[in-house]
Amino acid sequence: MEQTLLRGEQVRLAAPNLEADAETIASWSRNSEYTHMLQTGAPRLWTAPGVKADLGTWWYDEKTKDRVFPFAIRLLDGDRLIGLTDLEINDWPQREAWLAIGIGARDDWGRGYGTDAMRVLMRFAFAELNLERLTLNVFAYNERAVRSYLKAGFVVEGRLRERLRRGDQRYDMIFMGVLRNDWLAQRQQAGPTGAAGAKEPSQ
Amino acid sequence: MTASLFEASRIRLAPPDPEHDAEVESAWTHDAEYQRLLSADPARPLSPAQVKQKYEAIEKEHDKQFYFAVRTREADGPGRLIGFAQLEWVDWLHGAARLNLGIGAPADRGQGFGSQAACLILNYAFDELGLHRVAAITFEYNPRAARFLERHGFSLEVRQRQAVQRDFRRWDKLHYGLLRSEWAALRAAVETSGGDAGR
Repeated sequence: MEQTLLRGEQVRLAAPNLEADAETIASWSRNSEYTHMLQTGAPRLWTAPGVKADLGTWWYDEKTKDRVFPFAIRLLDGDRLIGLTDLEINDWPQREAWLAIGIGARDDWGRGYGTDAMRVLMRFAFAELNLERLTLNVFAYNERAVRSYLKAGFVVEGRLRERLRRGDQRYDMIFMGVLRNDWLAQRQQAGPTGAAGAKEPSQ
Repeated sequence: MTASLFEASRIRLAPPDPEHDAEVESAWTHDAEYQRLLSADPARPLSPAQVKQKYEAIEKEHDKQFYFAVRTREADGPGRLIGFAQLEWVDWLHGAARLNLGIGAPADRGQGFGSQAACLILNYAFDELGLHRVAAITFEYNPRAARFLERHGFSLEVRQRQAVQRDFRRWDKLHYGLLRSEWAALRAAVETSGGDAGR
């Protein structure tokens, strides 16, 4: 079970290693298309020391460590760092987490890595953290991400109208969610081979 | 520039007065029903000292949130503290914020105080802060708040399914939103009804 919990078809979730990875993570910020998809805030250029300080505080702070679960996304083939993801539990009694996921370099987009990582993260959330639901926000102009989340089993739960302004245009912020029961049903449907990615050893 | 930003016919928005208000608000927090109607956080009673700390924390965030005590409007004296109205998570880049509003004591609810406070703070959000939209959340188990929001022009935008655990079952979390243009079209009618609408 341990071998497969954090492993997908193409990627695995690993502990973030900021000492080794900060430079790569910082380089992703040069593409503002990436930061526009990732956050509401204005794109800023990150530096390796800045990444270490900011993410280090967020991920390893004593105050947040029981409710924030960060992962590096690494390719199974070659172990290269391609993205980051984390789960944040605001309030344990409600058994809900918010998640964020990003695949950094443009060349790695559209290859199914994010969907694969998402399925692994869902398994971690439901099988390991025993959560009842997952929530994410995605911006209306990020259609590729919406498709990926739908494929992983999320459904659209609504949209905050005109929540974002980029230049002269306004865009909705979409809410998507998946319930523990949705995920269990999806696993059942996938059968023992785990075609939907929710793979567990059968013995 | 004619309307008053902080005064309606029966209530006014005021800064919190920690010396006197903490005691009153502490009593509200001992009412678990009130806390559950407001928030999905576990209900916790707060001592007056803890309420004072909350006011101090709010003071430090004054560029990200606008917090008002709601007081009755009296001919003389400061009026009685009956609730609060707050714009939080102000996102200046996109012109958005979230509204929280509560009337503390059950006896003060259903009198139109909340509606007058809502009108003042929505005018403040759109006229004074120049925001494009205001959001508010409530829960499936609080239909009264949902009706209140709808009466003040908000639309249901997101139904976060089974997001809240209360009393051995799960409930949906409801996200409402109000755009600047929608408030502009509705405000006169809501204000004229003087906070007495829909009762």
